[in-house]
Amino acid sequence: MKMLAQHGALCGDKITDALELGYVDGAIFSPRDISVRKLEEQLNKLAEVKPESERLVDPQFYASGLVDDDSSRLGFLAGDDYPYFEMRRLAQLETEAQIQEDLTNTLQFQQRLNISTAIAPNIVIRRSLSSAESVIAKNFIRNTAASWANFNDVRPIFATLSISVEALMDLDEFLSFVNDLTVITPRPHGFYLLVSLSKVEDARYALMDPRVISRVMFLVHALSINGYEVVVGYSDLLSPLYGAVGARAGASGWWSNTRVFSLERFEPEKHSSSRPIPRYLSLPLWNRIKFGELAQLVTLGHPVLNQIESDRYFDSSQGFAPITNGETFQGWSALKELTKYLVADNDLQGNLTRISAQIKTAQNFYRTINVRLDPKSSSEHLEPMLQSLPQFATLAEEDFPG
Amino acid sequence: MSAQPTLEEIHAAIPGLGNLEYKDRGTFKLVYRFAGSNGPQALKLIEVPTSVGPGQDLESYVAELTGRVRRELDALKKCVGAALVRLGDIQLAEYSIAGRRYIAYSEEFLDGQSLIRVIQDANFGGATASQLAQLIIAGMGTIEALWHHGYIHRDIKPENVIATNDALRPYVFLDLGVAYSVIEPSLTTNKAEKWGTFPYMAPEVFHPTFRQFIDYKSDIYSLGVTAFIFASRRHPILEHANYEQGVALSMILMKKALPLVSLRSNLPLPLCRIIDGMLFKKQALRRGDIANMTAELKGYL
Repeated sequence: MKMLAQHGALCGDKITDALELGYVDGAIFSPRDISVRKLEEQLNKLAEVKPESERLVDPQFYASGLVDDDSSRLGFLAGDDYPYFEMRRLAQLETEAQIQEDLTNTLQFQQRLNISTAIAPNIVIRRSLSSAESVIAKNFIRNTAASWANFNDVRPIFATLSISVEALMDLDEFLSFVNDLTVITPRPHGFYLLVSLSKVEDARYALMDPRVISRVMFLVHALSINGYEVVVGYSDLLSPLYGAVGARAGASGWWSNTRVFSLERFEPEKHSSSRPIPRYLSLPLWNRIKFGELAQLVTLGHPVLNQIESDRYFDSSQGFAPITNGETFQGWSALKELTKYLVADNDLQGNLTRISAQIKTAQNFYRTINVRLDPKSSSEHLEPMLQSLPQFATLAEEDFPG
Repeated sequence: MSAQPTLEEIHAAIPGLGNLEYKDRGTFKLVYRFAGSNGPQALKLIEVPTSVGPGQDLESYVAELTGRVRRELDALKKCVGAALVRLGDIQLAEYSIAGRRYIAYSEEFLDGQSLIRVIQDANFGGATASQLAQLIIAGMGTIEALWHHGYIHRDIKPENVIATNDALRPYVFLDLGVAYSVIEPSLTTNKAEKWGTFPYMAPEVFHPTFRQFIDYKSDIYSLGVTAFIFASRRHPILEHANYEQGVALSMILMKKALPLVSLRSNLPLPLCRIIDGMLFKKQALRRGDIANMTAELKGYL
């Protein structure tokens, strides 16, 4: 499984450096956060550093419904850099001609970039898989491959599929929707999958729900066995679970809003956010902890460090405060290590076994810690992850080895 | 079906059938062989009933029967697949034969035998990897050709496959008599009625509103059962044929199919897994990437 950088604001040279250091295999760029000129520069640089790198650009068309609000945070999408990005109301997208026009404009833009795979536009299915949004989203997907074929470009094309956690809740609708995706013709090469939350801060509750995790795993698995490549955006700590069932790549960024997908990032700001405290991604805990907590746990003799090269970014002589970009590099490196350790290609049963064992080990480790940790640093995400595994196995009609 | 018409009676009604001979009979059809313009052809005769069972309406029944034959022939005209039976010289028409009404048409006559006869032969020890790959490639091609025009075969089973003596078309699929179109209106007068052959029908077909969501994956399931039986001479879920129907249905819906490798350890594991993968209960889990599957299967030819 490959790990990609989920691009966001204030990128600098993070991605190129991380690619050079081998912490990521490529990047998914966010046009909202970068001018076209810089985007082209970055893509060319990545191709120069590693020609085989994954270079994707999320068109972020799903935010086009927010254009009419001046206070929306659309960044470069709101200017002239991205001509395909225009205001769209749902009613406009109910006509196939509009969908085809938006596909053509977006893919024409993507086609001239130094990308490795093109990503087609789509909207977010926010409420239900039997809604008008769902029909529109399927129409985008149905027209994706044909639209790309007009450009005679040999690079693969991915359809965007963005579903809210609420829309995943009706199991019958979900299963029927997944099957519809598997019989689409002509077929795109793969899917860029986004699991959407209404608020970033809901991640710990809404995303860490065994039903949500197991259904996303099922979706990835079904698409994968039906011959599609799947890249799960913003997958962060859940990446190994998606990789275990066939995802080709996962992604994570450097801000909390690039580790979880939500349209909230594009919406008018409701409250000002303070600068987050840097966190260290501990593999034994399968979680990020504040660097102060890291210092405290290390002092108490708890083996929370990953014992890998990227630990150097959290300097023990400075109370484990990370150096510049250290948090980002350490996080990517740890995620890559975790997926490398847990996920093997075409070994579903083995992957589930290893992941189950690793989660249990992390839970046991947490039990030995008698320090009060910040709620985000706690073990509360592990039980839903563990529960999601047999739930996935049942859905996928597979034996659960755990 | 009433008494079978004699060859003379058929000749009298449909002139120009050289070397006519009786071959077989199915649930609804009588099959004869005759010399067509480009080689042997199969004449299919379907008797139009003059009475129906209690509670049934004769007019609706006849309309459904003729509608099905018309759909079958329309599908065969539209769908081009190397492994799909081809139409012959005689166009669909109604004939009066010995005072009884028949619908007749012709198809190419396939030199070979029904796959069920191959399987039931006491000397048959189960298909080879190459035979299985050929069967599935042929079946997938047929399913794809039909789906391209919105049709689902709905009755893929060994009885509807001819194992031919032609290396270029080793397996040919026939009988679209209960084919379903996702585009055209349903022909079924009794919506509760399930068309198909029970042990080969996919789990979703038993859902009360199955018409809302069946697609070619239902045919992939039936092809998977057919391939499994061709490989192992037993059904992947029903160990024997004597279950009470409710029990058998519940097994089809709930019980996992036996992994093929458990019965045929001498077959390549990836091939067994392809066949197992066609037998998942959920449509989404049955592979729909026909081109990729075909490419993989070609490795076993």
